[in-house]
Amino acid sequence: MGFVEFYNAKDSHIWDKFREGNTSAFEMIYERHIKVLANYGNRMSGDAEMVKDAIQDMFVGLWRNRINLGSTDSIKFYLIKAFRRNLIKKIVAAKKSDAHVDVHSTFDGSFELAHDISIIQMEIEESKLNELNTQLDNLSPRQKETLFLRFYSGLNYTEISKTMGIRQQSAYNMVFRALEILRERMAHTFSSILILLISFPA
Amino acid sequence: MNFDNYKLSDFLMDESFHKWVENSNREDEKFWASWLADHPEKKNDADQAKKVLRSLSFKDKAFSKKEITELWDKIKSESILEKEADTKTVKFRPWKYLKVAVVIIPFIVAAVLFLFFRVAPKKKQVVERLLIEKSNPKGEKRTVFLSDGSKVKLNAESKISYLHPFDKNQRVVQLEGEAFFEITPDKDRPFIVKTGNLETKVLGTSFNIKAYPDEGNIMVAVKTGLVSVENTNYKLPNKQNKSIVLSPMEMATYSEETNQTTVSDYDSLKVLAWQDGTLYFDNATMEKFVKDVEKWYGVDIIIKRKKPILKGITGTFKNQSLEEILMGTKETSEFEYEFLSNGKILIK
Repeated sequence: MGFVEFYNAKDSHIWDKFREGNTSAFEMIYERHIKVLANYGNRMSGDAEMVKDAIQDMFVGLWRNRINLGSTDSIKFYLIKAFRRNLIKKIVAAKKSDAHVDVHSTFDGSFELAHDISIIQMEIEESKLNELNTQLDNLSPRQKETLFLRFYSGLNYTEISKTMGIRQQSAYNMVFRALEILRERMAHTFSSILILLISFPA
Repeated sequence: MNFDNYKLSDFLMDESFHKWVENSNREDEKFWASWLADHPEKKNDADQAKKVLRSLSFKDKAFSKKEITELWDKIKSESILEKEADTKTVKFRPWKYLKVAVVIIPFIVAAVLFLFFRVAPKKKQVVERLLIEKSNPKGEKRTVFLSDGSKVKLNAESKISYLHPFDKNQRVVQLEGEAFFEITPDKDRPFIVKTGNLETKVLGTSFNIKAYPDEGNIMVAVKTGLVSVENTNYKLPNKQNKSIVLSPMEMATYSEETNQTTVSDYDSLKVLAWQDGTLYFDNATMEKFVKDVEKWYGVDIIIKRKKPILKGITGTFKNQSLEEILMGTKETSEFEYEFLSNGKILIK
């Protein structure tokens, strides 16, 4: 590929080169962010074709409009925001017409409490982990989306609020409540294991 | 920022603490490591928070490597590879010449200006227009984005061609094969799709056109908006062309044999399913089944049967492999298949 020079480059540098029309920089932007965009899109909609279309649409639009773009320090945030807007437009359009589009009205968090780590380091039983997974699954779609943006995509609360169009406080609260649930259930688990250990000395 | 009063929940919510737990940021790592060394009484809470955060992870839901590469190829062909179109368009800037004329020979300015404005329209006509052709071989589908934002989903073994940029007062493309169009509304520039003798005209709607040269029919099915379909090979007594207006859920079928166009309803599942990866058969003959499968997967199928297959083939196959489809239909349709060494498939 021609983008070896961009392997370790900073976001602002790659972005500027891309705006100047450097195709390797453009490709680097795709390579660096396709995974997070795909993970985000596939959780918002079950229609893989639509998600791919939204990604294609956005990148093509980016290239054609590069001259009018400003500079940025976080390409990831910029792309996630634009992608979300693009995909939601498509989802809404598909819902209006009677299309054969598989659209989830929920956000598929696909949380997977890290089994190996949890079991070995934290000594939590498999069944408890599954319980926790279910708890996370029962969160509202918006809560799951904020969790995803915070912990998978690594956006800060300002960026999350701008992406989802919610107040920063709301984003904060949603993450807080979700983590509280997790923590409470885990503490529950800890204490029950503790009781077990006390009652049955090894 | 005073962390002395941090409780477990505060650790849980702190972004920089997250980064330390993830080991993703050098500065955060240094900060928290040293802060915790200074505040051993907080170690318990911090550890608990760490455990909670560490346990929260996500399944990977991206696309396969192949899909990621294919998607990039599509993006590339729609963006980077169309660069030439931009650079070839001549941007006419009279002001550059104006400055020179004013500085060097002021009294000729008027004459020069007059000349340029007279010549300008001609110059614009000499702007190079590219003939763009996008075609899919058997077994491949893709989405093409036009310069006005319209989207064309091109099916396998299909080709779309157009001049870039579009005309001032109309947008014209030629289609061979099948495509689903989502056209950006522009009431000053009708969008026209030419398929042999048939011309389909819209202002901004979505519709599907099927015009494979080996089938004797051309079908135009409307999803949203209004579409006008005209047979340019048919002149009414008053020498005008005959045109039909279609509304959503209506389809026009033009037969090359009879040179006639009929209007009917259509089963949207049958007609539009190909776009989201669904292959659909409704009591199809063996010939149609084979032809569609050949096109979809890009394979060659040879039929060697003594007994003709009487039962029609019916089924909906979404994102399935060729093997899955063959296996799924062979029982009910009573045929056997074999993958030959030369890559073709034998149906017996």
